Amino acid sequence: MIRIDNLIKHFGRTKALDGISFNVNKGELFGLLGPNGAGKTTTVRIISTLIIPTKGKVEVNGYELPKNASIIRNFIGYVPQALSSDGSLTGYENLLIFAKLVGLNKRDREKKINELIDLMELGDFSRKLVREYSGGMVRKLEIAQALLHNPEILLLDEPTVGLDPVSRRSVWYVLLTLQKQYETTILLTTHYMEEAEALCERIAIMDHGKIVTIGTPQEIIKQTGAKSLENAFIVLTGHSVDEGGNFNELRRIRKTARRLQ
Amino acid sequence: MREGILMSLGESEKQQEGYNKSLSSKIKKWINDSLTLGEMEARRLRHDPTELFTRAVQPVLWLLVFGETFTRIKAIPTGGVPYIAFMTPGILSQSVLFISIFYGLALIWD
Repeated sequence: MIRIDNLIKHFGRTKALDGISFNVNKGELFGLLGPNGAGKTTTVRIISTLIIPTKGKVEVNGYELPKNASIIRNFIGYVPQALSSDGSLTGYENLLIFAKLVGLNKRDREKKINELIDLMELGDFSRKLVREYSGGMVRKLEIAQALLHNPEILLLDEPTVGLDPVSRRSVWYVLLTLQKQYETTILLTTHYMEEAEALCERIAIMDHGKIVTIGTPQEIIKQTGAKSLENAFIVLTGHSVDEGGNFNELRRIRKTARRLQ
Repeated sequence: MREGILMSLGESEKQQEGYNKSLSSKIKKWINDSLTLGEMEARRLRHDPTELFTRAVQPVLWLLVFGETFTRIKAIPTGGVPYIAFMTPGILSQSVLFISIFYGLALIWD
């Protein structure tokens, strides 16, 4: 579904991605795990057609980037780390505006919005202003927004950052439902070990713009001889997942976390 | 097979493909998107109409405070035109320009 081969991305003199390669299979829930500044967001932003790679091959559903970006946008849904819903509108209105922007006709629009409100269990809250929602409900609304045009692939950048444990689990439940019930291919980034272990069938551990290893969480633990994924990460990279990242990345994450609380 | 809610949009998918093809469809989509963003702003204002008042405060203050002051002290020659009449078009243009810039930036972020 997604094929990435020797992907390189430079921002000026900074090498954000240093020749990464991985595949995401159809219907798979794949995770990019790494500390802040590892290159996870850059990878997702390239796949979501928001930035152009410096070098390397990116193929989504058989179409190559960047020349087929407009076609690829039709079958990917993207939930960015920063908030994409409008707090001064209701949940229903947010979905309505997104539905109009992705070009759904009037008949499909109402049906699809109501079905997604049910799927995300937003119920009566859909008529309330989003600024009154809990962090978990905001994230579920944003996932619903990304699903309006029926994408086969869902990309999520740190979907549970800043959420309390209960909200985090409710988002996990939604993602697992989408994958198991609707066979949606999901690629997410995270720096939470327990999230990667609980959700992802396979993970790629990233550090300093490179992929250190790819496999199922169990395979990675076994391969390193560690007791947990967290220890396996330390064995593979030489540091814990909490280290790394620069001031701007930390500020961005904290800003998102503050707005979700 | 992907079933249920995620398979109910055949018509819309065709519509999207259409959007990607011809120039007239692209223009149609551009107009629709612009109207949708306008609708979004209108809905925001409906939920919080006080914003209309706060946006009007600055030009009104300019007219009342500076307008009245300069009318009294006659510091700027206006060629016989009342100072409020001399100032109003400029204040309105400035307000329109500033609000357009702020809204433009907000739209880019959206």
